[in-house]
Amino acid sequence: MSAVSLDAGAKRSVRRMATERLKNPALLLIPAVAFLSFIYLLPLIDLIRISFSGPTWLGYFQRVFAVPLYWESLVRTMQISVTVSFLCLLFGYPTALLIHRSRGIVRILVTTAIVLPYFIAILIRTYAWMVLLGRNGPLNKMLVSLGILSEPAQLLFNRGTVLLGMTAVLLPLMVLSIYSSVARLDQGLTRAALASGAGPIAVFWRVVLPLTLPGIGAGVLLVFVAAIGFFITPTLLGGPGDQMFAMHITQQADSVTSEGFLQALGVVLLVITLAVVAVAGRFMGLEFIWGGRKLDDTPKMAGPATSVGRSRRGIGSIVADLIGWPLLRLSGHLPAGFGKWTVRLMGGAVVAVLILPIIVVMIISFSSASYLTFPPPGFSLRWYEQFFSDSNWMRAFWTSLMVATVSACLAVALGTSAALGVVRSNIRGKSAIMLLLVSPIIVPPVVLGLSLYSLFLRLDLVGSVFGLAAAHAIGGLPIVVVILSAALQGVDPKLEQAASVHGASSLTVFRLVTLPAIAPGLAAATFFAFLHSFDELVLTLFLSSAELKTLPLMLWGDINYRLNPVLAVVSTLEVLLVVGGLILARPVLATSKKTA
Amino acid sequence: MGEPVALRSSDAAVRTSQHVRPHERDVIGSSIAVRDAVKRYGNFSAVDQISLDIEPGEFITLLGPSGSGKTTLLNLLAGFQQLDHGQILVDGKPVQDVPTHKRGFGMVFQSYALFPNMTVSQNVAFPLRMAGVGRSTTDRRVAETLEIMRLSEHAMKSPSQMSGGQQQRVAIARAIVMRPKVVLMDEPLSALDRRLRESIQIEIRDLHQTIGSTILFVTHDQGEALTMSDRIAVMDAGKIVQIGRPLEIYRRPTNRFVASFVGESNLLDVEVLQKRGTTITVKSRAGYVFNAESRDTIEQSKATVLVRPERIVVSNEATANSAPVTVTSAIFLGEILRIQAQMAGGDELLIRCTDTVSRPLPEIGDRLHVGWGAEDCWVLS
Amino acid sequence: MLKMKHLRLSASVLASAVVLAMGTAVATAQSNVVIMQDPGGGYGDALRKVMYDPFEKATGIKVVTVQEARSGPRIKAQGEAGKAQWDLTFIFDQETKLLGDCCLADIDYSKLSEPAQKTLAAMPDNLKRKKGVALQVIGVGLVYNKDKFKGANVPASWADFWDVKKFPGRRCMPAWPRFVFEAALMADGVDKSQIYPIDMERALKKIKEIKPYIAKWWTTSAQPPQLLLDGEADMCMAYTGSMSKLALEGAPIDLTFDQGFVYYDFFSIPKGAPNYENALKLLSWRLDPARAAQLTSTFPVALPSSVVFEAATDKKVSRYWANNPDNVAKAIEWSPTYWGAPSPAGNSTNEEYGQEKLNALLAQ
Repeated sequence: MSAVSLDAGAKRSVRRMATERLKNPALLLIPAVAFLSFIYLLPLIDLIRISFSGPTWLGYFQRVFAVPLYWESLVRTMQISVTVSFLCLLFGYPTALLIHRSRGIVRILVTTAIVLPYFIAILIRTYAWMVLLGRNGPLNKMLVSLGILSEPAQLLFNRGTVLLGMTAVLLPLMVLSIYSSVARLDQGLTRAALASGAGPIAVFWRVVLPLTLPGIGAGVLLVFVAAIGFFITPTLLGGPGDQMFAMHITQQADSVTSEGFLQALGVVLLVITLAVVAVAGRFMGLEFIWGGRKLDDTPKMAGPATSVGRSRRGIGSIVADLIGWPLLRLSGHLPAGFGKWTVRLMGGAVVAVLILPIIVVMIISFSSASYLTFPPPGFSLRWYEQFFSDSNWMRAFWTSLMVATVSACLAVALGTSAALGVVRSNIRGKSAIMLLLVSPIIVPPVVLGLSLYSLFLRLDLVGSVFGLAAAHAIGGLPIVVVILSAALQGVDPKLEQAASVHGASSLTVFRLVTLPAIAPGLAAATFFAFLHSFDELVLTLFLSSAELKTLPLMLWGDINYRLNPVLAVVSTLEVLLVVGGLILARPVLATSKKTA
Repeated sequence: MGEPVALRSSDAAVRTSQHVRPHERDVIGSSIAVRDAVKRYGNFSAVDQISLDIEPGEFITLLGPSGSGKTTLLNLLAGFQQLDHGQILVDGKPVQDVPTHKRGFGMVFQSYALFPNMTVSQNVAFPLRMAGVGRSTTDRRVAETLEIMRLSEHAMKSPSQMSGGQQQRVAIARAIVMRPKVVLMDEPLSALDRRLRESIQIEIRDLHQTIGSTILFVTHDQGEALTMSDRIAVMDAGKIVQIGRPLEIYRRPTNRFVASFVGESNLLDVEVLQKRGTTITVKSRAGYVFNAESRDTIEQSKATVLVRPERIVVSNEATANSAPVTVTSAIFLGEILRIQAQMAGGDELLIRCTDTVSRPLPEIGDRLHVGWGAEDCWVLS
Repeated sequence: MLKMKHLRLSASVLASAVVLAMGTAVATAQSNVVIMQDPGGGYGDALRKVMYDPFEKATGIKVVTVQEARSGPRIKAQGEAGKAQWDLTFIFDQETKLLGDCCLADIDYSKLSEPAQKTLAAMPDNLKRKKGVALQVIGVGLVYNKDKFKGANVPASWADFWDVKKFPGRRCMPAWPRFVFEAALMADGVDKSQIYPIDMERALKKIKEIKPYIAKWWTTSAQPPQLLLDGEADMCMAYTGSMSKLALEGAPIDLTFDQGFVYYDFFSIPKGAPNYENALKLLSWRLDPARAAQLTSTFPVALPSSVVFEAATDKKVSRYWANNPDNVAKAIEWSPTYWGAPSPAGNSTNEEYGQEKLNALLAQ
């Protein structure tokens, strides 16, 4: 009797332990981690395996480094990336300061000019440059009418346009990254510096600049890492002399004979990217990837990081002393408003560079001419009619819509669960998991596409809606995780405890307490995950078929073929989509800013 | 037994008499004159036609609740904000068009505002380097200043490694390292706990005597203002409502706002019975008749009088001019008894009684007799 | 309203995706279908109209088309996974060899229809291989703006293409080593019989001469017509198919097959194809000379047999065809064998090696 009851009790406690374990929030990480392991890590590992499968171990890699074409392109890619990072910093910093210093309507306008392009597809922004700089584009027209040029010049397809286009495309990333650092700056510090007799330029050099270094570092890195893997902009804006490394991969992806070598190219690009990120992470922590603060479980990392920080500061201030003081003396002779006007002029230039192409494209979409010319000879809706009546465009539109919807649902479901797991559980290695979850942001899309291509071929998923949506969700997932982790950190766990004390089950707690609190974040995350998939081109190039054409794919095909105003129509619609989404998401962004 | 218990004069009053006159100091601070200063935000006047004269080497405190305009006035002096109207003169020269970094002031902030990217000594050296002072002089001056602030051993530390009090001492060191003729202090102690605050209050006072700069100190803490200042300017709604020495502000407030903002106060509405110059006989609502003093002769028949709680004499028996009260609460606070009582007619009285030894703690409902001298009863204008 | 439409449309797209996914399973069970890779676009439409619809009517075998531009990698993956999903695909010349053993079935020529046999009889043996049969001949030639170059002043060789004094104007060429290297050698005086194996250094040297006059190194077949029509280029090396169509439609362009190139796309049956017999039937159908000629008249892609050319009804149209014996005689048979062979560098093919060299030159 007693033995039986003991046994039953033990069973019950075992069951209770099991249910307890099932309630562990860490379990919520499993779906996302499993998803990424299968569709992201596994293909990358396979990619590496294939790259080593040559006749000799390093056979394929030898070719990468033996053929001047490839390593020269690698060097060129590095040069372009460094230059673009530098240009982004040069123009991005004053812009961030401009946002910070301006007030009211000016601030709203400048912020919009930065944020809006950030969410518009790279393809479309590059296309806008092609329009702006084209033979019949506004710039050529203006130069001719001013008499500076006798006939329209070929402004496109050279290194300059590649640098311009890439800088313009990546600038918002830099500005937002620096701005987050500038906004956190204690205003008291600049005042203290002023009160200590430092002029505006000295304040910038000795106080503002050193204190925003983390933002600068994060911005430069994100831009650099993105630039290394760039493919769309250099392909469209560059000439034959501007081949970047990622372009070789797409160029050879169709050939059956390049297997192995192709993967080796991908691995080289991946390794360089990861090495840069790892070195940067050593100095500034890997949090820069998701632009976040350190997670609670990283005191171990904080220790060495601060000591590194100190030695770096030592070097930094020595450099500042050596260069800075003479420079400051010189700058003392500059007119009083120099700094202020630099910020205004450069920030203004940036705003113009980011917004003008988009406006030109929007105007051209209403052109009555059958070819691209600016200003349009007349206005009409014929291109809109053509877009909406062309079954190919409409089909591509609905395909994109469906892929993006499925992808957003997938990313949000997995991402929300993962964010709950990251924020609410106490498991060890949380940073490592977070790193895994957000790492797709830094992997060059070309490499990801190449690795997925093998997997999709094997599973016969090439050209399937779900496959493409899942592939897009790899990039959507980090967006969701980052936004929702921030939102969840804003929810007081005490509220959840209070609800469960008063008798709510875990699911009810989530539904009644957690969900309403993170609902705005959820909406924003859904929108951005949707947009990510809707705009995605590079993975799609690898994974779609003639049957499954998305809107960006159609755009890509047409941009390579002919620049007609239908593309401007698509671009305008995309801009409207983004504007609409941002207006809807604005209250969310405002509240998340407050809690941050 | 029935003798009223004389209360000791306040600490603030005692301190005031110890102040060193400006001319005995080494460095002579600047004189500051504010003329008709106006600063508006939309329709709201943060600083509303303020005029203020500060003597060289004076320690003057701007005291007021938040939103009274004291910080705005300080920011105008510092040059962080620009006057809409009016003038600021330092040593007789207008400075409103001089940018902050050329005004040559020292400044201490509530948030310390130490540069986190610099060590303590680099922070303190900052103003010297900005002024282009040579390295050896800089090092010497920094060492001296750190010595004065007793921070020498922390010279190589990063501000984040220090306590709040230490950080604020670094901030003060940075503000005075140039021996500026004017030091502005914006609520420098409000982020510190009470004990630390009191010790740094004394430190700042001593420092003021050593360096002799003109110090403009902003605080909302009336105790701090009374302790430290040569003069206090009490601000309300963008105006200076009273300016004077601490004792005067405390004992002879000009209006109800100052009386209730500075120190604890009993304000009684009374009827004026008789006027003899500045001595006036008044009658409380309960019919209690007593003498009060006023700054000027007054015309009206109604008035408000101030009686400080510590000036009220308590006895168990009725005396010649005492009034009966009923105890509504009594709390033992260590050095004093804090008694609340009600007079007939409804007036509430707060009493701070220092005789905690011979007097048993009154109980609620006990009847006591209270009284005060004419010099302790001040008519507000 | 919009929402409704959206729902219905996305549902239909979803449904078609499901049907496609299920298609293969259904097909194996019934075997009255044949699954055919399809290039889509205008060519796909022509195939459907000229070939598939009549085929379905005549045989009762349904032709399921799967749109896919590049089949090589997918056939390889399907072959490796041991589950072929298509019955008939088109692949590159080299791929009949590269993928022959692993992934392609032998074509049983004896089972083809009589008209098809006739067509085949007029084809060189190299075009009817065990693993694939050439169903398309592709021409690459010199295309020029005939408003700009007229009368006797018409470019007729690659030497003319390179002669920027006699024929001033902007050029366009593909950004690939194939065709470009051969043309360069001919322009440099190499006889067309002596081109292979290619002297790459000599070719590159010659390309360097023309490089400043190239407005665009094109990468997709759609670009050269656009460049010519927009006046961005006056003379191009381009595919003859789409150009001839434009010329017939009245565009001011003309082309020459002199020193042009022809090469072939092959049709193969994947190993383990679900409907092998049906694939052979469709192949027979497509090899029928009359139908093949009709297809070429509808869309300018020719079947490489003189029988098909002779079956053409309108000689004005067929003069542009790449299977025109006159044209074939003027042109050079492009050598996929050479380009697929290992390069001097050892670890790549000649094509990859040449591409690397050309890219390096273009990058200068």
